[in-house]
Amino acid sequence: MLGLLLDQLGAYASSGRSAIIDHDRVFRYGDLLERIESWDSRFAEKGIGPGRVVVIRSDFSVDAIALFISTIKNDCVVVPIVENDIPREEIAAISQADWWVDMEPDGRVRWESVGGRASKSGLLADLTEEGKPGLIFFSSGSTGKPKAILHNVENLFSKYQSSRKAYSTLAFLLFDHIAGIDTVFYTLFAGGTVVIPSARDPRTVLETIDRFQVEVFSTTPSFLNWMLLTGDLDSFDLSSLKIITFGSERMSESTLANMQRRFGDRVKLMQKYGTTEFGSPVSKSRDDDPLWIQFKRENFDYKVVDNRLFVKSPMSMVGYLNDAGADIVDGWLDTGDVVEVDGEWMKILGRQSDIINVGGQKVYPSEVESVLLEIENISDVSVYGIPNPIMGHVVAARINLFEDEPAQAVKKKIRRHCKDRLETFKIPASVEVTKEKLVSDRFKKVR
Amino acid sequence: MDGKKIEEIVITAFNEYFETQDIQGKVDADTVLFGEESALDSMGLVNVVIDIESFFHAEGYNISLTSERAMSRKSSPFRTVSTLVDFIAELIDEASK
Repeated sequence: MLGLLLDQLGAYASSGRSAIIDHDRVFRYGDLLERIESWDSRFAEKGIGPGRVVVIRSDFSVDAIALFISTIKNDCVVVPIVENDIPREEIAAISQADWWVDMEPDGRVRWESVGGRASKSGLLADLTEEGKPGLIFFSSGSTGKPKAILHNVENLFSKYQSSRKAYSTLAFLLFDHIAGIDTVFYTLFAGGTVVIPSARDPRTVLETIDRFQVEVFSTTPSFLNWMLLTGDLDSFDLSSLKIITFGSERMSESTLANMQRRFGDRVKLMQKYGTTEFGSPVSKSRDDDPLWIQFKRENFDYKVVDNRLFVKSPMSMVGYLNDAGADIVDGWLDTGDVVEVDGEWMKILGRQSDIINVGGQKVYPSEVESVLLEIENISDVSVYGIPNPIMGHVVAARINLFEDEPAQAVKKKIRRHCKDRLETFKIPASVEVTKEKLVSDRFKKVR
Repeated sequence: MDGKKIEEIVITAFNEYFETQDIQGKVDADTVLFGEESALDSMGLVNVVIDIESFFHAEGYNISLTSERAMSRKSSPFRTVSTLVDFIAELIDEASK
């Protein structure tokens, strides 16, 4: 499988194509191969043999991608990490790391031996004894406890054999996330160009799309909302864009409507679905409403029980390296996502844990958020539940405004607007106006 | 804070809520808040109660109108505007002791 990747890279190199654009510099496939080889020689120098675990803490960069490829090429296990809340020692211990590589934005690279043992234990041993390269993702998990998920790289990458369309793609999603890795390797296997933005704010992203003629942009609904709100869209030429995909949280109807107004039929908007355990299935969006998607049951099975989505895939996950993620029963992963089903089509309604129970009635925060975003002067909103002795819970909203306005006036405006748009129990009983950002640094709504 | 002031705050909170929800009529001290005669459903009452609480919180009075105590009283403080005003006065009085 990896042989195939390297063969492909070699073939693209001889045709002189651009592989990666990093900080405005263009690296051709030949340059990428050279960098991979230069990392290979570091592995040889340091005597890092098969089965060793290498943590790479970095953002996407040409060097980080080359080191990633070199690590799996050397039959090691790669652990991509960005700055996060999980303590370094915990990551090293759970992943049985041998080496920790820090790559700074200015290009400095520091290798540190973190004392792993040649023989691994548990699931890592099963994989490394077979001489197979691995990949470990750390995910914060819905319970807050980090989950460490080990994949067999050969299996994970096997789906890229069919990637054919060579797009210029923005590496927006992060280096430590399965969807971020997916974006990059789908693009490289197909001979496309990975464009790395120098920052992930709307202006920089739009400017990058404009300058480097980006065709595919994979992001989150929260980021799209932020991008629409900055109002900068007119200052850039976005005509190169062909596909925008979004996932990892529910897309609100109002953000989607705004996107459709903005981009019309020119850009295909697609909902994606994925889990760190099983990656994302091949899926398609319904033509008239991209929030409805259909999974191809190709190496990916799913079932819906009580509106809750369960997925199963024999593909690539070897298993969890810690006990935090025992969400799998008989191979079925409980995703915690609530869906609406219409034949073979499915719509993601939100996470079960986000649903607010008001006097026995269910409220999906994103439905309320979508209605609140229609109100003038509201730039962003996060809806959640607060305990209430009478109703059990009531709906509360935290609001970002464009221009200052008294909280009391905002609340009145919200109630008036929601009156004909939402049932009474869904209308926020408590409203807080704040200047704090409502989107996390992973571009998801904070609730 | 005297009873008159509290009454004013409570009445304003109800009237403002009525206004946003297009509920006809004005609230006064004798207005019935709960039960068949009330223009409000329980969700509406919960909303106004939260409004009143947050108003007093902003004024530095950390009172809860839906505490275990309020809910378990023999005669509910939520019968009419004036019983609610009395209850708030009681809570404020206690809080400042």
